[in-house]
Amino acid sequence: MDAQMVLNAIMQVCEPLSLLYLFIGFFVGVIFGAMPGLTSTLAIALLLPMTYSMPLSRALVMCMGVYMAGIYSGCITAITINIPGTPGAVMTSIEGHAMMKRGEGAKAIGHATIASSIGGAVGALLLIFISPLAVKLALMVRTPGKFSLVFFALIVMVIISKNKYKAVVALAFGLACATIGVDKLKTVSRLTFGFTQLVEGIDTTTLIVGAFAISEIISQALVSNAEYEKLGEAANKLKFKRKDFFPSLKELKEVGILTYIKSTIIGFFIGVLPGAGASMASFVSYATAQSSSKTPEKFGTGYPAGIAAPECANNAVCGGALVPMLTLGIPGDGTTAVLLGVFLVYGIVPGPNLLTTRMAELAPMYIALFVSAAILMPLSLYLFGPYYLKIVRINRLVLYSAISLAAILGVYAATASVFQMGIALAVGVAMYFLKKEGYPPVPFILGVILGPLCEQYLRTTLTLGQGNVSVFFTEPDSLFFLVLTVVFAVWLPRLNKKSETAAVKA
Amino acid sequence: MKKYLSKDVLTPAGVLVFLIAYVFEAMQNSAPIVNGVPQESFFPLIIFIAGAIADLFLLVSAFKNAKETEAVAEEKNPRNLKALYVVIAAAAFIFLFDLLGFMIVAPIFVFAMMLIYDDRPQQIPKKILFTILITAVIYVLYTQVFDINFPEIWR
Repeated sequence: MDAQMVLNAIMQVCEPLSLLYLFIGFFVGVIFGAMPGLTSTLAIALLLPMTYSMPLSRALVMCMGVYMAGIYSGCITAITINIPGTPGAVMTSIEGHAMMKRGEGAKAIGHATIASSIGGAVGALLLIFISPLAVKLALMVRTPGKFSLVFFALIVMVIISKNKYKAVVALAFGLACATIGVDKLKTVSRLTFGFTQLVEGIDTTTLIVGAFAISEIISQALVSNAEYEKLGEAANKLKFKRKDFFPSLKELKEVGILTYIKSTIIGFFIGVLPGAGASMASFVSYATAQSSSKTPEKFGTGYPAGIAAPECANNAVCGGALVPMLTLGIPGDGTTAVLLGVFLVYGIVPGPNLLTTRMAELAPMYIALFVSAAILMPLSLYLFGPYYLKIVRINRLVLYSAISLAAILGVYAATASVFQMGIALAVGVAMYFLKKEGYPPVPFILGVILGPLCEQYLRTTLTLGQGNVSVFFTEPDSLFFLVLTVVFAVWLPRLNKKSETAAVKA
Repeated sequence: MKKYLSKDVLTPAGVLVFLIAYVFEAMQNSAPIVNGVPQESFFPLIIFIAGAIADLFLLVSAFKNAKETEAVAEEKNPRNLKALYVVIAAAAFIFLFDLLGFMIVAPIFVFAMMLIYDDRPQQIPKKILFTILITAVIYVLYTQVFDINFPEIWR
């Protein structure tokens, strides 16, 4: 990305309409991240059909606002009512809620905001500088290597799941959905089960909305409204003034600049690992901050460094997770998997050539990620901080009824087909049952998105080699990714175990 | 026999039925490999093999667990019925959307969802007011901002 491109991207993000979409994305992200049960992944899934009428750059700018704010705002309920809004905010709740009980809840949110802003902004800068290097490497990958790369992504997603067999089944379900319709290599229809409407296949939006939104609106029927209102009442009792949010310089010095730097780097590089995600980043950075602290005994008692480390790391993940997604077409977490869906909506095929062919359209996304991290501090500390507590008091009936209507209409908006709406409902019901039984939804969506690429690369390689599979082991790029798959298969479960141990210890 | 009818057994069994139907449909098109060249049923066959192996592991371990443990009557959560109501409401909305149009079906759907999500039918006037507001906001958002036309009974 050269200076001219950066300048153009800044100009595009600074257009009034782009800024408006960024702010809309930001506030949607804050609401979805702060409300237990809602996630930024769901927010992007709901916004996906609405992006159809926008230029790609604006759609991505809005998604970046949702992504950054969604990860950040998990800390709000984690600190105030001890219920992490996102899995990445679990460690924040340990220290933050302890501070809350001491009457320093606003200050805890202040520490979390400053750390999130630093982590997110530096993570975005690292993304801008590292992407070109990653692109150069990615361009060296040829067709057999591309298959091994997709295979690597799918395997990693299975490895990090709690139950690997269930993850394989979810992945197979997603891959199966992706194969329905016209076979692009031979242009013949397949797997239509006699339905002519299936000849064109199942739309990605249909599957994403079904898997994330419709399954969630079914799950929410199981939540008692009275129990949820109790959370709102707990938040209602809290009142913060603006000045309470600002930590003193002495307190910031106590956290230490090294904690911010270390946690950002940990978060960014854990984000780069496909499938690792914000929760692992926050666990690892918390454990690192505690082990390198001069006062480790203070951790667990409401210590600001224990808030700054995980918050810095989980927001730095945003930039890191975009590296494999943009350069290799591998999403780093659930949100980036859905973000790949946005690319597909615009006919953009994820993969190593993406940044070289569509860089001009994607560059505003980088800047938007940086801006959404940078505005966290002024918006949260100076303007809206005291009102964040009221998010939990939003009428749940109104919110979920609106989400239900928007989700189903979203499928119609994307496909103009009532049949696809029915498919979304069927997928939603299936995913609701599968999720209830512990089948993870992310491998499913990864199967939907990477399935067509996986098939294309596999069949092309085998066709050219007359069915010879040894090419996957003789081509150096392909061999590299296969070896990497084995390394990850051994190493990732260990890292997962370590981060879980850190969480239990804390 | 009853202990073998738990969700742990029925879910992988259902998945297996789906996978068999899937591969059977795929095989209607062509053989997986013709003259060393993979055909359109090749990839679905691989998906079937991978999925079926993992699913059989789950099925066998669920059978083993069921054999070792006594049948325990699953606690019935009365709210499970609410999940069913959500599905029925959504299915009815989708079925009637094309026939009756947005203006008639959407408010009824939103109102029904509010009743389902609430613990008991209460504050009906408030719910009606919110229904009108939600429907209006979503209608304006989609038709005016995103330029999407919904089916209407008069159109």
